[in-house]
Amino acid sequence: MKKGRQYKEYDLPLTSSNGNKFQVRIRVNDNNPFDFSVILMYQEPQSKYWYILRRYNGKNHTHKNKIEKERILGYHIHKATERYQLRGYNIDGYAEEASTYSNWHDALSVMLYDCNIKIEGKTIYDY
Amino acid sequence: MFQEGIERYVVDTPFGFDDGDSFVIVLKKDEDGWHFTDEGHTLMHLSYYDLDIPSTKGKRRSFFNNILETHNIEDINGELIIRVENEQYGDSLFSFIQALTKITDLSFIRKQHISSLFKEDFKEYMKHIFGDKCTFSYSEPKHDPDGNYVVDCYVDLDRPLLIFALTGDYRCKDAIITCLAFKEWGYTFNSIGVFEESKNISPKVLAQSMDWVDKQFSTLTSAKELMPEYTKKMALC
Repeated sequence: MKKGRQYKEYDLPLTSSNGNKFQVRIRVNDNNPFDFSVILMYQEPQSKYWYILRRYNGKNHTHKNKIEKERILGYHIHKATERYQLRGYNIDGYAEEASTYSNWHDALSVMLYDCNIKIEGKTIYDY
Repeated sequence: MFQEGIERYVVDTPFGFDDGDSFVIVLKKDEDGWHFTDEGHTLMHLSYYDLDIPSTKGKRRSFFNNILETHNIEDINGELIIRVENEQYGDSLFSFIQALTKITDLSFIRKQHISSLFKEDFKEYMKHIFGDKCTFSYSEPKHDPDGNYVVDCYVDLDRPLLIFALTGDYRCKDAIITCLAFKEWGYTFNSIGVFEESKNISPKVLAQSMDWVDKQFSTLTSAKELMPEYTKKMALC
């Protein structure tokens, strides 16, 4: 943990078999084990801009979907959607309630499964 | 507001981040009394989007410090808290929410790519790469005592490296003219241009700069990613 932070951070760059660049980013709050985020990011080759595709969040805060006007209490998964992007909202502004994990380790496993991330000869925990 | 732990109350408000997540606000008691805290969440949340406030210097840091000062917020190693004075819970909560909103807006500043912040980030990164070899806003003392041909970052190497922070068409043209002047004065040098946003440069100027500036990076982000390998390959470090 670096100075001036109340959280642990892990950033793991990944390159897909066809050369696309991704990053798995994990943030875990030291004060509250339910405050975490496991993130899958994609870098657009031309602009080098990173887009958040998925974000598996803990349950220490509520989330509001601005278009659907619904509130989620508890674990939730942010998903990049075109409709949020087109309306000028954050691309990861939409989220769905989650019941498949209750800590960041499990959230990471669920994300790897959901997003079909396989690392040849290694698991992500080997990094 | 609901209790979650001893002398710990979670305060749920409709205020939050751009992505729809609410602010984390918790009312807690310690030896100095009651206070509202974000339990370190706010800065963690901003880090999802590469806004690293604890490591930030310059104007962005100064904005952050001003917000804390204005709202009597304490930054305890990344945890933001506001003390409740004289049982004025509502006032403290309102001030805390205002401060969190302003801090969140710092990410908006990042998105806007304000030029002064770009230049600060440019300088910071060049110092990180080339250290003491950098001279910023350099002009050649012998041929240009009036400072008409300024190099944004001059790197003192066997073969000097001229690096330009390119914020728009005018700065691109300045960089081209400066490169031509150095050539005219008989210098052998390498040159790099880092665009604030290459897509904002007109095609004609972009083509001209490609002819006269050796290597170009489309944004500072791309420079940060690709420059270390480039400088190594070209033996520029």
